Amino acid sequence: MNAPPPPALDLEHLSKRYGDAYAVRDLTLRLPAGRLTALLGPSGCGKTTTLRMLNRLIEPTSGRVLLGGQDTRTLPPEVLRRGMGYVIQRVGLFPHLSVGRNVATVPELLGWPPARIKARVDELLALVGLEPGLYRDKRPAELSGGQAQRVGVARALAADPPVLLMDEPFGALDPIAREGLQEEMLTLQRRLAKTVVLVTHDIPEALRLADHIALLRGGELVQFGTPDDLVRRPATDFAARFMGEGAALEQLGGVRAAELARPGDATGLPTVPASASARTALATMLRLETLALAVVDGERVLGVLEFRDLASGPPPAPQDPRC
Amino acid sequence: MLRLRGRPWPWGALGWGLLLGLCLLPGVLPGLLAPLAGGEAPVPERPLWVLTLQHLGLVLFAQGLVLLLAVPLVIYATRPGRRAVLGLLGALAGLGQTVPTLAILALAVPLLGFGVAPTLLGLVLYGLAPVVSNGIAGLRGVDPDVLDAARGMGLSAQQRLWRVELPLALPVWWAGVRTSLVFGVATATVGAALGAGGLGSPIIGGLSQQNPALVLLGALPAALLALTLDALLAATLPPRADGRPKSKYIQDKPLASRSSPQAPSGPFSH
Ligand SMILES: Nc1ncnc2c1ncn2[C@@H]1O[C@H](COP(=O)(O)OP(=O)(O)OP(=O)(O)O)[C@@H](O)[C@H]1O
Ligand SMILES: [Mg+2]
Repeated sequence: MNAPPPPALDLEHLSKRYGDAYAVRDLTLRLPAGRLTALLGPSGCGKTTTLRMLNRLIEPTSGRVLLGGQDTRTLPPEVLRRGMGYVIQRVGLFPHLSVGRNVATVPELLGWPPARIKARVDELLALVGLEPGLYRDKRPAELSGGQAQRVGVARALAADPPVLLMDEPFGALDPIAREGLQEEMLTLQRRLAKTVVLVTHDIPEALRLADHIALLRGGELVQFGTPDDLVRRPATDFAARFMGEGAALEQLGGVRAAELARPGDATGLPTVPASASARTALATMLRLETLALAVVDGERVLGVLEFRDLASGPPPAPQDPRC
Repeated sequence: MLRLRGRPWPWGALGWGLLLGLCLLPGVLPGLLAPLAGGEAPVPERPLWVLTLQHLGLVLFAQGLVLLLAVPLVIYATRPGRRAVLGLLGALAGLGQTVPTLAILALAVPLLGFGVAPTLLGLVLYGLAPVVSNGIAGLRGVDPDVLDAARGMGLSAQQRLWRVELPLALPVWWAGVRTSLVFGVATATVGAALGAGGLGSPIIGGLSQQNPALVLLGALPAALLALTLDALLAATLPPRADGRPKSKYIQDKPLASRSSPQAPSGPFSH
């Protein structure tokens, strides 16, 4: 399917006030097109409110949102929302409809012909790792939490919206299922390159999935940057504390050993597979009490990874044109 | 077991209906009840089947009016921002269930005179209560996360109502209709005192003549009619949408069909 290139989302002086308290205050932020941006911050900092102002489930008190340069208030809310996939933590699948009909919801609203809808449903179920023949006719009550969330993602992607809004989509899952779905989300995003906004208060999740992170506190923006920026160059004490000591280590988990390896003499060095994370490589070094490892792809030696390469950290993400 | 479009056959409705049919055959029920009246078969003023049809017609007509009133009223009151209306309607429905049938009927007579009209009014007022309160319960019981997802996906208010809220509220609402209808059969017998006819007339007649056989001549078919309707509505009750899960403990397999080329592998992945 040839979707148009995804639009950027611009938040301009966006505020939401309840009584005297601001849930979100004067938020100006550009969510880059085709990238995954995480809205990160402690509970109650305004992440959900911000997300819901993007698809106008909440109307801002002041400020505006531009979608690809167009003020979202110029569109009827329903039309706006059909162009933005929406995934929430508690999934909210329609319990009276089959999995297939759930996924078909927005295409049905858009009046697609039945044959196209059916093909799209099967395509999407396969995309999120659910065998269509097995799951299409199941009821949501027959799914596990992880399976239900996959259906939630498939449903949000059904009409191939250029924007995807996700509010703690993996928050209710056990760690194994969560990591699996995160990994799958990464793969999906590499393929689909949508403008994704992911609300989370899980730092590892933000570091692993996001191209950019917007760190919020008390409804205000603390820092916007790449995961690397936030870990290495926190703008404030709060950012440093929030990202925490574990963050640097956590970030190594998102980098492949192969990306850090450099040409060198690898003879006699213990080996680490190219696909392993830098964190795994670090653990290996500590365990074997060595300062260098040979990075190998099967039999082939790709290079040498030294302890100080880990300390100086990963190079800028190669897919990010901003760096 | 025989199944009808995925649900069990309505044996109850068939059984009670058949029994009712037997009772309505000319002479059957009077013959059976004769010993109670000293061997003299009780005679209704009109054939039993006519009285039963009259009775059923009255009840169904009233139920139609109930639905015509209750459905829009409940939908109107449960839309967002109508808390006051909703509270009032809920309170009225609760009140309606506590006012004695006889009181409603007695109060209706001075307004509408004798005949079908006051009985109909009583049936409608009395029948509204369960339909309204179950309608409110059904619509308010829809999972707010489901509604939020529906709104977030771009369903309009009307689409949410038709595609999500009504289907999910239907089982509870339908149960209210069932209650209303069954009580309606009983309430309508009292209507005979106001001249509305139906199966109440042999009962009223039997009471005034102290003839228990005549009372039973009306009461038995009325009871069977109520049982038949009850079983019929139970059989047509839409199944609970959230159904019984076949297995609550399906293991979430670690993404067997994942195609990520970068997935960690080898000795370091565990
Ligand atoms: N409808 C509302 N009325 C009043 N206050 C609200 C309302 N919705 C949100 N708030 C307040 O606005 C603030 C931000 O809420 P929001 O739901 O956006 O937080 P969040 O970052 O998503 O938190 P969490 O991580 O717990 O989900 C909170 O202090 C909350 O109490
Ligand atoms: Mg939230």
